[in-house]
Amino acid sequence: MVKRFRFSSHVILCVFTLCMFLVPCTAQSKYPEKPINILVPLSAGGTADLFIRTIAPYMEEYLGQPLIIINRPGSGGALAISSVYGSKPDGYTMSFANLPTLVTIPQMREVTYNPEELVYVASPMIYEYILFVKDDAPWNTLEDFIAAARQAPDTLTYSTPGNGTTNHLAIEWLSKREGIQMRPVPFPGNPQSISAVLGGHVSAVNASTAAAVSSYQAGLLKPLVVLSEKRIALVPETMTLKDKGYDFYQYSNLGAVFPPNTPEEFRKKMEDAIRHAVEQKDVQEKVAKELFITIDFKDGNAYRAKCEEYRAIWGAILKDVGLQMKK
Amino acid sequence: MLDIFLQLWEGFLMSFTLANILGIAAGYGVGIIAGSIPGIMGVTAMVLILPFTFTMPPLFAIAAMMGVYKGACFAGSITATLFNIPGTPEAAATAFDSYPMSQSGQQARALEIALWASVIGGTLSNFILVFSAAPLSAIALKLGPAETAALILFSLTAVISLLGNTRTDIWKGGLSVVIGLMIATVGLDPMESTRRYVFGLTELDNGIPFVLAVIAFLAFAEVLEQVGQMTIISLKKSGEKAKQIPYSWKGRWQDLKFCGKELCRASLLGSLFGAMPGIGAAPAAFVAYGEAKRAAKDNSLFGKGDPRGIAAPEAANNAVAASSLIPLVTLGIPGSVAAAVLFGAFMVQGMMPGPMLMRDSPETLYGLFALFIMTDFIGGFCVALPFLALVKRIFVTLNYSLLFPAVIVCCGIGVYAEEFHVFSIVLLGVLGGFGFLLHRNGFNIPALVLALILGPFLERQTRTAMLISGGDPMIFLTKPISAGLLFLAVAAIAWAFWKRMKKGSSG
Amino acid sequence: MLKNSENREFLVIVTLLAFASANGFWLIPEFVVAEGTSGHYPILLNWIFALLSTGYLIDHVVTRKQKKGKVSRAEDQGYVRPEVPAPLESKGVGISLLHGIKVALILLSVFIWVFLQETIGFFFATFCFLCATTLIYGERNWKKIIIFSLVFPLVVLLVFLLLNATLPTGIVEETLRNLVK
Repeated sequence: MVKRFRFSSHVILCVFTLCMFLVPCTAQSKYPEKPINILVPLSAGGTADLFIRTIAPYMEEYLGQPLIIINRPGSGGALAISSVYGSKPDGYTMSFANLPTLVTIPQMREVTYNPEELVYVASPMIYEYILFVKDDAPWNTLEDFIAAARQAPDTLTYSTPGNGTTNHLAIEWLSKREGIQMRPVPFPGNPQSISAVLGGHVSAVNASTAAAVSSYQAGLLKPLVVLSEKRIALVPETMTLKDKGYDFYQYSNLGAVFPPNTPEEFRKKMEDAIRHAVEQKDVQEKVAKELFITIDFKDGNAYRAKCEEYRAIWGAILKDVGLQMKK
Repeated sequence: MLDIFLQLWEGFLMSFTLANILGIAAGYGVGIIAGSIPGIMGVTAMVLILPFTFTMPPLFAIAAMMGVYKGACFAGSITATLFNIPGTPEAAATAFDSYPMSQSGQQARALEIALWASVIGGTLSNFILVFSAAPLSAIALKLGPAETAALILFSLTAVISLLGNTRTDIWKGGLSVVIGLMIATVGLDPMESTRRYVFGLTELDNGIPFVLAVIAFLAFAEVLEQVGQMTIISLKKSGEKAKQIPYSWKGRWQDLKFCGKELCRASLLGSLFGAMPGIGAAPAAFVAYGEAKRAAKDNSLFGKGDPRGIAAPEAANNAVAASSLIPLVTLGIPGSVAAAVLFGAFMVQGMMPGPMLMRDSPETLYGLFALFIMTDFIGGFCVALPFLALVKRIFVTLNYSLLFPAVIVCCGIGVYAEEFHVFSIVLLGVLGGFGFLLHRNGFNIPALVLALILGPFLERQTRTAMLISGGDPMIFLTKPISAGLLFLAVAAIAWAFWKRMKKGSSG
Repeated sequence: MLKNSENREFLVIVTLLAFASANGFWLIPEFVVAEGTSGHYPILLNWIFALLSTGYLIDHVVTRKQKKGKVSRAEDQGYVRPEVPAPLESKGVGISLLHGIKVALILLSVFIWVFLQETIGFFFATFCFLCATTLIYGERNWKKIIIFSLVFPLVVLLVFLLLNATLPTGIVEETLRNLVK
């Protein structure tokens, strides 16, 4: 120990030189120059998470920096969004967001962020939804299920990935329309809400496709109805709500947002990274064959416009089912 | 059965390559270093390493990640043993006995017992994963929100009943748990996202990150504790310093025989806990410790350096590490934060864990299983043993007055690296000071930390159960498993009180 | 001695009860938004907290009257092998004045460290912080202190550079960087 410290002045000199060498290594350059934190508002293994992890390597390839994917589920995405809302607008914190977090949840309760101030980056995909029950459930069709709910009001439960998500509202709309009553049970994400059905703790789940693929293919789930606009290759036999004569489909997309006041330059770069990723053949193939969701790229402006459009549409439904916040 | 063995053999043939062995060794090395630096959690290391695995070949990448994961799991006990600074919350249970044992000069013995217990616990649990993943995950699915909430309550009461010798300790244990649960409510409500106890600080919206709280209460508070001992240490420096008693082969064999039953019991317990998504290693380690203490004929040495008190929690927490992959492998649902990071690694490598992997490409799956089994052995023998030898050598020459400031810096950097926000370091200081005050007034810090980790989960599960039942609290009593667990929880407290009453009146 | 520790216990209980009522009457109504069911859980916790504190108080008063059954912690320090020295850590309650001052100083330097990181950057802030804390921890060898305080943050910096992660930079470090550039 003592020996090592005898040449202390030399050591100090060396240390200082080393220090000087280190400094320019981290000097400023073009964005992005360090890893970017990407918040995922839903739990790992869910649809959004699977999709983001699929495109992330291609975005990294484009940006030349690693992306650090952080799952911050809870409150239907509000936790992640309020965290990004308060972050520095330096382009190094981005959150993905589902449509309801930006559109429905702020209409249902006080939230800690203003969705209109966020910087909309781009929206790479839209979700597909299926209403599932457990494979050995007594109901084989949507009609059976509705009849059972009518017979015993307020006993059937369904799990959702959070209050105010479109998964929740679509079933509420259906219940209102059919005059039935069921209890929504929110979970932090699709994987958990699906396992609640698998374990028999709730009667049904309105889940987005990707999270349900493996359980469905293993024969553990039974589809009742497709809630999104078109039929899905995963369950080609199952009818959509539209096929059944309801004038309704469940729309939600996944997009990325930056904190308010993030410079356009960063936004553009990120938008291009996302576009680059979804244009890859590998990604498109994987998304179509394994995740069963639809790639539908919208740039920042189109994404914001879509959100505005659905703020009105879902807002009307919220008012209809009596969930809109009283002001 | 034979079928599985054959497939496992095939898996071994596939996985047993030099590259994979190197991957495991390198990963384990990183994990063990990260895990033994207080303030750096295994998960943090995994997240930081993850980008580097993208360009590696699949099995090699998974091998390296598994190595980091397992290495960090074990390494938490190193600092717990030597300095009473648990690197991970689950190692706090190990520290109850390993720190006193190491303080009495038997560092070698304490560290090696922890290592062997880790390897054995991990291996047993790996075999459980291979042979009974499917039935275990079926059981885990059956445990709904009510049962999970009851299980968490049971783990919490188990910790309360463990510590201390007087009734006062039970009251304070209970209060520590409630304080932990209260700290866990800070931030946005997980279900309604309303603000609670935020005091206008938006930084607190996400709550107090559990990694930060764990580091503040277990590591930082202990460093503050030690500053009061510095005078004693510097006095000791002149004379007999850090005496080390060698650990003979005979002693090793005796310890193994002595702890054999505990190891098996704890591994099984850990495997069960691990199969439940979200519960994690810490409660398993505490419950295993409690079980070992309860089952022992003579438990007077627990808390003073009983080898069983090291073996049981250490085996349990490593068993959790393996079996928390059960939900991932069988259902495609990551059961812990670490499993979620591994899940990310799988995804990047184009592997989708879940029932489909088992059906479509069993050879990959069994290759993975073989990899898991190899990780424990290669890591334990080729990396951990030499590392321990090195640690023991460094320990003799350690300068505490430099070590503790370094630990504080590590803690600060560790919490900073979680969110990349200096506010985290302020919070670390505040919580560390608070933890120090509580500890000095006889509160039970491990119980508080456990409650803090499980708090958000407990709240969510309780409220979900109430939603399912439509607001009827009877759901906790009408479900047999949850009723049984709640009964056990009450019994644990009653037992603890009764035991101390008896002691009180006779002494 | 016994008397002293009992008074301390009493003080702790009073603090606990005071917190429970402050929490119930002021913190929860003021800082917990009781929308939907999100207020129920903190209120439940507060009730449990208050109940436990009361139970503790009653138990304490009763034992105090009986004045027996208290196992003093100092007697309870038997170790596995009597021939080896007892552990350095003593588990008792209470803080000595010197210890308290040292802890306060360390906490203070942590806060100053955070402040400095944002102004003069990680490296220099940590250098100052380490110099201060090693002194508090009783190191008196100046050479050791300075070398250690220089080398340690450098190692941390290197590791972070290797991992592509960033540490806080302040004005001084930024200016230095720009100068070098």
